[in-house]
Amino acid sequence: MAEAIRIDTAAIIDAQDWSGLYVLEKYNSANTDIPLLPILTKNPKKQNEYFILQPFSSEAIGSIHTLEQLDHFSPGDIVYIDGHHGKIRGILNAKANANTLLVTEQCDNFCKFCSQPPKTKNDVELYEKAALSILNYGRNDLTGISGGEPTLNKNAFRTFLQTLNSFNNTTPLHILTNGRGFSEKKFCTDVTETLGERFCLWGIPIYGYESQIHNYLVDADNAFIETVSGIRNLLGSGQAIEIRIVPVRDNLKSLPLIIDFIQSNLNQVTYVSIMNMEPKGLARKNFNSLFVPQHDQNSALLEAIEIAETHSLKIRLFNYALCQIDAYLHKYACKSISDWKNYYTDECNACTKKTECGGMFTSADGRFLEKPRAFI
Amino acid sequence: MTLEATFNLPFLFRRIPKTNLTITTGYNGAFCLLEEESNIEDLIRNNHERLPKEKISELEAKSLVSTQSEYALKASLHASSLATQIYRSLAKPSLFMIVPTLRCDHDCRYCQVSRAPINAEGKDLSAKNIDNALNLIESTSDEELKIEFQGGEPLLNFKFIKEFISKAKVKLKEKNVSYVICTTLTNLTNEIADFIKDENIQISASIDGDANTHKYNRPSKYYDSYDLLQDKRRLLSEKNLDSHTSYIATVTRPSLGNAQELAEFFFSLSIDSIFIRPLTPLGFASSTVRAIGYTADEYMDFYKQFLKEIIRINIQGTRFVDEMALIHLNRIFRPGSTQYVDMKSPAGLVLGGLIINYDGKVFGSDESRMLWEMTHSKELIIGDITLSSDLDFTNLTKTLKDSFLFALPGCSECAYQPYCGADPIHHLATQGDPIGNKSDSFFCNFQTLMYDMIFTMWHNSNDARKVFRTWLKL
Amino acid sequence: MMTSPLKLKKNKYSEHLIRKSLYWLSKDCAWKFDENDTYWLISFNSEVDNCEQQLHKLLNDNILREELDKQTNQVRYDIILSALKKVQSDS
Repeated sequence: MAEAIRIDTAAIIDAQDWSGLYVLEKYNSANTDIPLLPILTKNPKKQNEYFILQPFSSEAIGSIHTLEQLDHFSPGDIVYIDGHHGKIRGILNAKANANTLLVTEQCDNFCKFCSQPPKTKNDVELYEKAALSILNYGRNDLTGISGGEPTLNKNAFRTFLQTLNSFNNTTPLHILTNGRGFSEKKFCTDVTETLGERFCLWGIPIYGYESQIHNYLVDADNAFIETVSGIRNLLGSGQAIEIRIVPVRDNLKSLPLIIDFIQSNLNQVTYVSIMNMEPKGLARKNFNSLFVPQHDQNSALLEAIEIAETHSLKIRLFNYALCQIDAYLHKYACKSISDWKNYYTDECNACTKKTECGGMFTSADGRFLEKPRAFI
Repeated sequence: MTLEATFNLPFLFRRIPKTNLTITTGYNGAFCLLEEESNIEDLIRNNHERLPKEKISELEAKSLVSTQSEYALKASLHASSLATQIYRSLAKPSLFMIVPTLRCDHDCRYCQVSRAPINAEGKDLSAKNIDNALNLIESTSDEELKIEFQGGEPLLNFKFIKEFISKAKVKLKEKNVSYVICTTLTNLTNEIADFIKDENIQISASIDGDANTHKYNRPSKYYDSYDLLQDKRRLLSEKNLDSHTSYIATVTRPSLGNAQELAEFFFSLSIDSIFIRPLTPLGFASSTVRAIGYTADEYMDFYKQFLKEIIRINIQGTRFVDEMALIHLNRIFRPGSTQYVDMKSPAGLVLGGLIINYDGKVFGSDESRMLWEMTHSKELIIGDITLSSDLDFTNLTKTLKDSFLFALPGCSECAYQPYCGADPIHHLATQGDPIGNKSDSFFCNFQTLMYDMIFTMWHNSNDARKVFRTWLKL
Repeated sequence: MMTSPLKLKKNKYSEHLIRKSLYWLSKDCAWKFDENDTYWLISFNSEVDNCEQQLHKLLNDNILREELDKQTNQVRYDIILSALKKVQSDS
């Protein structure tokens, strides 16, 4: 793994008794009605020592020691102490270019390129942790909710939203889901009602213009029909949708047809994001059968973008390096990779477009890296 | 590409004359062009394997055919798209036309308004009606609206416009209002130009062609209408109002043989776009029709040449938009984006825009107003601002009900249904009933030929497609 | 002057189909529509060419439309009804 441009972890010791969520230094908001997390605060007298305080108390109930500086964190950030592994990890960070909370690792799809392969163990406590994190963070930045499949446990998902509502939280959410749960109209109306005025963008993947390819790539029967029904229901309830497409060997040629499918049937979606595959997890395992080099995607991307432009469908390219794609596509390419898994090679330092370019995934190293060519 | 058998969803089709193309359109508004004459029979008779593989995939992606398992889903997607289409067309009025005066300084040959001489009395809308007008507009409109001053020649009652806008700034301050003045420009003064600039008003001016053409179509008793128009255009330039001005050209019979010259003329004016339109012989004497009128076929022969020339100009490097073509392109590719009221299903009769006449009477469309001038048929009136700011739609509900396109004879099986719009007043005026015999209707013929041409060019000409795409991109 | 009537079998073409096709026939053809027990009888203005040809094209396409309608009529009805219901419930 290459080294990311922003590290979101740090090594710590003496933390075995202190695993859990903390607010760093101080709460961002003055709202004390929420269930408050304990505070982690620097000992001004001893470098690399942090005291653990209960809310409203100035007496330390314990302390931990860091082996590295925590410069990449800011006061008010939510952090997680993993005492068992001796690590402190950023959960919600002001310096991050994006913040996403994991609410479950369970999933009813099994995408062949999944960067975070599903697990079956019961992890329902993650919903509560996510709610606590959002409430204590107290900033109104767009926050990602991801999994696994966040809506798989419908009750836990609804409860998560209701918990936020009960403390008058209005944090806007970007929820990544396969949408299948929303094929049930009642679940759709319930969730829409619970969301109320809260802004929510649903990021939902479609990998084909019909069942065969899509169901093959997500390895689940009936997935396409359920996902598209879910999108239709959400659109009908006035929800904002981002359709995500990952081009791989099996569906690259169909990319223009997928855009045609979206503009013909679902053209009220807010965005379409075409996302270059991240070579991590199952994608790394199945790399040889899935991978298409970025420059080989150009003609399909150009055709897809042309259709999108004609029908005024807003389209974005994620995870593409500017040196790998056609110049016409540059205006659609976004700096989309989360900073904690983002890097630039040495070759990139000489590149005139480095600041506009999204760079690479840290997992795109060694044989998984497509060699960049600097613009001079 | 699926290996499963595919089944037809309901769709409409039309063989485009003089081509091998057949267009199929779905209730979701998607279209697919079949390239061989036998394709449509193979498609309908379920011999799908005889069509090219890519065509079946395209038909599948656009939900015109489906596998068994996806059939119900695709039908529901059509329903959702159709619901959105209907919902959009039922939106509150967004266009309000006001006629400050019937007086005019021109005698345009195709004028459908019974205009009055410049010194006539009793042909002006009094400023004391402004409050009622604003109340009506405020309560009927959506958040965004356009107010268009027409005539006669609206600048002859500039006082009204000035007072109206000043009061509207208060009464309509919660709304997003844009103003347009449709004018011959010949009465433009420095004062008016400054006002237009300060209030950020748009101008829609008519220029039909070079001096001969323009003066033949749009003569004035008082001056050389072409020379004065060009003088006023210079004034607009001096005041930096060129970007506020767009141009309309109306075509009469004598121009039909001059498509290329006309296109080059408009291009020579260094304007961004031209909206060229045919005239409909509504209320003309038969001698007039003979002199200036034409059939839809005759017009389209002209227009095809005109558009080809415009496309050539664009290919050579200058962006110059044909607004009539763009309206149709928007109907196809950007449903919900266009406010041109004649083309909505249900008809833009009441729902697209209202017009307040110089005498205070309120109508549901410009053609209603003209028809009333001709027939004085009371059902066409939906309000009177000299009396109140109320509207009464009862008479119009029936006309409206009759204009849902998917139910109308002649329209219900037309492949262009998702894009076109019934025009009941046109049919009422030219054939005596709101539904009309479409095969005989200029409006229907014109729209059909327009869409035939646009789809044929889209499919057959790389240049046309390239230029259309740049126009569609905002 | 009218042409001698074109005979179309009643058991092959419904009256509705004939009338729909005549609706779009060029006005110059000035068609006359009559019938006997077995046939529909249609005559045209003999001074205009290819009226019969035009009519056959229209008939053929309308037959195709009838066939498509047989396959999809219920779905078409459901789509329109569902759309109108949705609009009603949203407003």
